[in-house]
Amino acid sequence: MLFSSIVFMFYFLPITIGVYYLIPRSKLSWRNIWLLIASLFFYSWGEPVYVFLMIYSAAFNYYMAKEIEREKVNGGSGKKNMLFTLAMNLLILGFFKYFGFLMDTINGIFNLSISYTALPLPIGISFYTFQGLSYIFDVYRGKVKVQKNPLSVALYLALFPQLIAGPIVNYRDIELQLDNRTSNFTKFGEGAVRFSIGLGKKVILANNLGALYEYVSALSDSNLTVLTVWIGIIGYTLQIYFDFSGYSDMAIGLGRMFGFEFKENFNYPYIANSITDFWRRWHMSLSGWFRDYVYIPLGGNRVTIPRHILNLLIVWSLTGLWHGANWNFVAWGTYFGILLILEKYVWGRLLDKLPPAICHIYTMLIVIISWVFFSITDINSAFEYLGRMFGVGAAGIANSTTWYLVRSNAILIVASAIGSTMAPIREIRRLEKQYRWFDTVFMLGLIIISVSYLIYGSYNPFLYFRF
Amino acid sequence: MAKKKNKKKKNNSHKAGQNQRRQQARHTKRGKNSNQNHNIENNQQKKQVADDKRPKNNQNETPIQDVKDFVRNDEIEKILDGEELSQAENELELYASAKRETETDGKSQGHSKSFAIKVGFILILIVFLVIIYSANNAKNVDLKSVETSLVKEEDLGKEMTKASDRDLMRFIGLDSENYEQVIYYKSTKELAVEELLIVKVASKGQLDGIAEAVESRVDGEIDVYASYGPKQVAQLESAVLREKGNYYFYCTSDKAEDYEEVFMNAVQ
Repeated sequence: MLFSSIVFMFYFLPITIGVYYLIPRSKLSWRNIWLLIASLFFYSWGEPVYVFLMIYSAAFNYYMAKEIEREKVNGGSGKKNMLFTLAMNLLILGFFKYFGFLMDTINGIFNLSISYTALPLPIGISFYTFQGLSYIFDVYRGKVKVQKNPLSVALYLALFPQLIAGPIVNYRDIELQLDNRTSNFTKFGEGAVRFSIGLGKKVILANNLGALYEYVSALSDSNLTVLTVWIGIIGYTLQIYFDFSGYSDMAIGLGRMFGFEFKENFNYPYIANSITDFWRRWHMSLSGWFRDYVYIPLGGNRVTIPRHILNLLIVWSLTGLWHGANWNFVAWGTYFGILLILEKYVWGRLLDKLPPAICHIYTMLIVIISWVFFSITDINSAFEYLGRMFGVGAAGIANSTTWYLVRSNAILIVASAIGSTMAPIREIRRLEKQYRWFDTVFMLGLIIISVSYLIYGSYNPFLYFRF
Repeated sequence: MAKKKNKKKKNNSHKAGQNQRRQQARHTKRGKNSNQNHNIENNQQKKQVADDKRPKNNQNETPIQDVKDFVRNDEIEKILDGEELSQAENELELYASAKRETETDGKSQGHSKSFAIKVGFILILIVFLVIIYSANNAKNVDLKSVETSLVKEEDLGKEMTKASDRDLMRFIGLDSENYEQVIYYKSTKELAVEELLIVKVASKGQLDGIAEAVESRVDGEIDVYASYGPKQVAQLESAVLREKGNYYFYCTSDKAEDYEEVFMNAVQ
C-alpha cells in the first residue's frame, strides 16, 4: 500500500488512527498490538506471501537476541550467536535481492547459461533487515537490553510508517518509545503537517519531475541533444530528492501521529558544498548505519592511510550494493567512495578556500552525474547518456524538443530547485508568524492539490520501493 | 556419623570428577579435624576459613539464599562456634558440587534446546524459500503450444484475432525481435479493449521493461475510455498482469482468468 494512494489516505489511515486513539492512553501495550496488526495488514496488502517472511524475521531476531544475551550472561561473548544471526539475515536478503545478480555474474564470467528464477523482491526487505541487524548488533555490544516482548520486536521491524522505505530506525533510538511514549493533540497536528508536506513533495513535485525524465528517456537517439539530456537528468536529480525525502517526511509525520520520534533522514542535501557534506545530508539513516556497523568496526579513520582508503571503498561499495543488485549501483557507490577519498586526502583543503558558489557547482555536478548511473541500470547505456551530456553521440546542442521541454517544465524545475533549499520553509515560517491564517490556508491548499493529483494521477510508486 | 553420611553420599556418586572433588573435600576435612581437636586458636582460624568461604561461594556459584536453604540458620551458628565446622564445610562442598552438576546438566539441556530451535529456524526458512522458489519457477515451453491450447480449449480466436508484430509495436510499444517468443491477440471490434499478450524472454531483466510498457498501455486505455466507456474501464481495471519465470502474461478480457489458467497449466 502506498502512502500516496486513496486507499491509504481515506481508508487505512483514518481507521488505524481512529482505533489507536479509541484505546485508552494507559493501555499502551494494546495500542502497540493494534499498530502491529495494522502494520502487518499494510504490508500484506501488497505482499500477501512475504508478510510471513517479515514475521519470521521478527521471530528469529527476537529469539537470537535472547540467545546472545544468554550466552553473555553465561560468560561467553555472544559472538557465535551474533555471527549466526548475521549470516541468516544476510542469507534471506541475499537470496531475494542478490541471487539473480549472482547467477547473472557467474553466467557472464564463465560463459554459462545456468537457468534460474529471479524472485520478486519483497518490498522493504533491505530496510527491515538492516533494522533487525541494528537490534542484534546493539544487543551484542550491550548498548541495549534484550527485548522481552516478541510483539515489541515485531512492531519495531514492521511499524508501517517506516516499513517500506525507511528511514532506517536503530533499535536504540526507539527502544524506550516502544514502551513509553506520549501521543497528544499537538504532536498529532505536527505529524499531520509533516505528512502533508511529504505528500505534496511526492505527488506535486516528484511525480511531475518523474514524468519529465521518463519523457526524455523515451526519446529516440536522434532527438537527444546535449541540453535535452541535461534537462532529463536534472529532472531525475530533483525527482529522487523530492520522492525520497517526501516519503521520509510522510514516515516521520506518521510516526509522530502515533507518538514516535524518528530521526531525520535528509537535511537539504542539494545545498551541500562538498561530497562529504552531501553525504552528511542525504539518506542519513543509511550512512549512519554503515558508519556505526561497518565503517567503525573496520577501524574507521583511526588506522593507516591505505587501510582507511580500503575501509572507505568497502563501505561505499556496500552502500552501492545495498541500493540494488546490479553493477551500476556498485559503480555508483564506489564513485562516491573514490570522491570522498579524494576530498579527504587530495583536494579537501582546496575546497575550503574556494568560494561557496564554486564548491556548490562542483558538488552538484558530481551528484547529477552520479544519478545517471543510479537511474540507468545498464552500465553501457549509462555511459552513452553521460557521453551525450558532454556532446559525445548527442544530436546537437538543442532542437525543437529541447525548447518545448524548457517551455513546459521551466517553472517546475525552478520551483523544485528552490524547494530543495531552506528558502521556502523560512518564508513559510515568516508568513505563519505574520498572518495567523496562513498556516491553515497553506496546508489546506497543499492537501487539496495533492489529493487532486492522487485522484487524477496514475500509479506512481516511490523510487526507493525497489530497494 | 557425619563420616558415614558422607561415605553413603560418596557411594551414590558415579562421576570421576565428582569423586575427585569429594576426595579433596575429605582431605581438607581430615586436616581440619585434627586442628579442631587440638586448640581453640585453630577453631578461630576455621571460623575465619568459614567466613572466607561464605562470600566466595556466594560470589561464584552458590547464592547466599541457596546456602541458607540448605543449611539452617542455627546450623550456621553452630558452625561459626566451631562445633560442626568440618561437617558443614563438607556439606557445603557437596552441595556446591551437586549444584554445579545440576547447572551443567541444565546448561547442556539448554544448549540442546537452543540448538534444536536454531535448526528449526533454518528448516522453516529452507521450506519457505523452496515453496517461494517453486511457485515462481516456470517450465521452458514453446509458446506455440500455449497458443494452440488457448485456441482449442478457450476458443481464443473467436474473441480476438492474432495481431502482427507491427501492432505489438503500435499498441504496446514492444519490438517482438527483442524477445524469444511473443503471442499477441487483439479484438478488432469497435470500442473493444480485449487483448492478450504472452512474452517469453531470454533474460529476466527484460521483464521489467515489458511490465512498464503493459502498465502504461493499460493506464492509457483507461484514460481513453474514462469518460464514456465504463464497461471497458471495468475490464481494463481487472486486467491480469503477471510474471512467471521467464514469461510475462497480460490479458484484458472477461475470460482473462480462463486464459491465465491455460497459460499457468502450460508453464507450471
